[in-house]
Amino acid sequence: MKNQQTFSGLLGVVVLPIVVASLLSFLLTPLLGKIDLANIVMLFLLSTFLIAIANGRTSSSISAIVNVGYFDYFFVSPLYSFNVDDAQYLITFSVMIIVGLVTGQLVSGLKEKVNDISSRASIINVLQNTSQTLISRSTDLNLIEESISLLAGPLSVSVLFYKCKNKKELDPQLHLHDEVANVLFTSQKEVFQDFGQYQYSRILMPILVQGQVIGILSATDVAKSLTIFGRDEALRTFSHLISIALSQQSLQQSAKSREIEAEGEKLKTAILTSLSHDLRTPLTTMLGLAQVLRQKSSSQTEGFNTILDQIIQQGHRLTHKVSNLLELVKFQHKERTMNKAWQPIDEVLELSLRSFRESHPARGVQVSMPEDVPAICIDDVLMERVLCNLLENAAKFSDPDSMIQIQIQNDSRYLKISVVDQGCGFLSDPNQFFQIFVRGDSGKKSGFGLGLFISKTIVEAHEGTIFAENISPQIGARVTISLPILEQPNISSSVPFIHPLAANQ
Amino acid sequence: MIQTVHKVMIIEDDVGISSLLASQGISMNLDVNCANCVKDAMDHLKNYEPDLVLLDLGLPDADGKTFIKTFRLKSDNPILVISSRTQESEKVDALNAGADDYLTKPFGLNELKARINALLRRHQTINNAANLMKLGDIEVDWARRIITKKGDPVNLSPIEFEILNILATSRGKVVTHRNLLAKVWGGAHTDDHHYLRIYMGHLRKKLEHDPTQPQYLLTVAGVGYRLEV
Repeated sequence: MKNQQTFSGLLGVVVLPIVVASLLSFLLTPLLGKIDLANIVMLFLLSTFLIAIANGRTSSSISAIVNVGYFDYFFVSPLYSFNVDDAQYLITFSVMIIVGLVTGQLVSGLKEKVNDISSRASIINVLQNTSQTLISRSTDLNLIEESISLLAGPLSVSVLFYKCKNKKELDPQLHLHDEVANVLFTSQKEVFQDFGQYQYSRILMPILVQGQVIGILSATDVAKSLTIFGRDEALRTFSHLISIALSQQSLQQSAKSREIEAEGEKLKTAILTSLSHDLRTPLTTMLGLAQVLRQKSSSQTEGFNTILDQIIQQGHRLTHKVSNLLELVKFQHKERTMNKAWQPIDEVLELSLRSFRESHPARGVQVSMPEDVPAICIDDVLMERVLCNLLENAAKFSDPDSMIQIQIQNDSRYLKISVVDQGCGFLSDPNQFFQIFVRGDSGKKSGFGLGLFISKTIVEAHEGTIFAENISPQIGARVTISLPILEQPNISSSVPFIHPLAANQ
Repeated sequence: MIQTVHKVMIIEDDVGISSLLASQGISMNLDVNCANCVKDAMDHLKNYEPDLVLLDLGLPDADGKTFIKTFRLKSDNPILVISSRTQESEKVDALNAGADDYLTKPFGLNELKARINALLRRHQTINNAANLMKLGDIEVDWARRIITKKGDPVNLSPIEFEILNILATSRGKVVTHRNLLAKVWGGAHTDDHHYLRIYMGHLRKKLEHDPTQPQYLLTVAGVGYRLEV
């Protein structure tokens, strides 16, 4: 089929000049003598020119030669012979041939240019359409496939997209060498491959989204070179368009997910606030009423008072646990931000001891501390919770009459706070209790197993460590917090103190 | 002198807590008026002028802070915030909006009484600066700037003296870190909490028997300090 076409084309290229020359000769022979030979030459040249326009270079060259033959045979004396009487006709012949060849060349060159320009124009059209589609449908998931189908047809190349983020994910169908893959993924540059022996060439282009390769665009063309009509340029532009559209898409998606996240955060805060409110309000009423009864019951029996005291103490412990739970949830949801400040250790001790007193009013606690303890940079509210948890544990697992000790020690690098009790100690590996929901003495005492877990979380947020040990079997447990001592803040020199008397004036 | 009966308005939506507060108010010989939301409270205020307001921050119709701001437009009388919110910033916000003190739920009744008394008393004697203050075995003569503990003189630096002075002026009531810093060091240092905390540590060492379990100079977690009397 293809061969036949080429053959008939070839036939046209050869036959047309002969037919035209024959026709011209047939029409002009009767007029010989009435028309000047120079004008006949002109008509022959015109035919070559027209053939060049119609059939291109080869045909016009054949026409130039055939025309010379016919002109010589039919119009130059001696007539009906290829002989020439006057040698100056040789000049005419050469002019005819040269003009024919040059015209053919020029015309066909012009034609190719026109062809090239119109091809480029149509490619630009296609690109424009594709870019509009890409931008208007940038949220579509089938973006790449659809735009490829828009482009591939008019460009008459086969375009394929391979989704892969690195060399390992490369589709084996691509048959890529390692060096080529390196250029694509590491240098993020395009690769042009010409397989002359197989009569095809291809361009491979990495598609980038926010600086990351997300896939390879491969354009293959059989026989023709991809570089003609600016098709490689078009493909390059196309790959950039896809990159832009995909980047836009991913930006839109991340904006949307940020929005959803923000909504979620709001909801979480709302739930936490209402949970905190809903749990504390009834507790407040219960504790308050128990205290009212306790105030009024001074004349009642001793047993009655003991029960009320128990209600009050247990109420405080419940409050403590609710606070632990809420603090943990807040901490894990990043709801709670650290609010660190430089301070002496005293304030935290004061706060935790006061809070501990509410649930254990009669429990003895002894604090031992060296004279000059360096200041530490901590979130006092959180650290109070840690110490409170340790005190609660110490109270829970030791005899109510025994003393709880808080020992503060420091070297040049760490400040150590230990809470020591005289109870039974940890029955199994002490440090397993820092995991969530692991409880000592299972079932016998109340507790979520949260206390030590949240303590560890808080201490670690302060770049500190927490460590539990048995002092020696059956005579108590010690939990030690180590907090790094940082460079102490400069105070006295940088403060512009306003004298109270001066300030009052 | 005739003992006037103080008027207290309780703004709280939870009936249990509201009646608990009311019963405490009555037992303290106070005149009590209860409102369950901000709108209700605004209506009551038209013909009731409270000497003290007990305010819950989480009210059904509006944030308690809105009430504080509106109330402050017409009255200087003290507001005691009673809140279940544990975030320290909430408390500080309420105090900055114009509240005088706060209690976190659940609170002890003794604590409630102490706060109410401190606010009512302070309000009575706000312009009546006493020249002498006694805290257990500590005596302070403000005019002569002399402080003694068990009769022995205590040397305070000017900053320590000023901190003590400010706390004493608002005794029984919380003073925020920010407020103290602004008064002692000036407005540019309101975020330099460590100045205050470290001077406070010195002050405690000089005045308190046991600085880790102070009786008078109390820390209010995340908020500030209170001079307990």
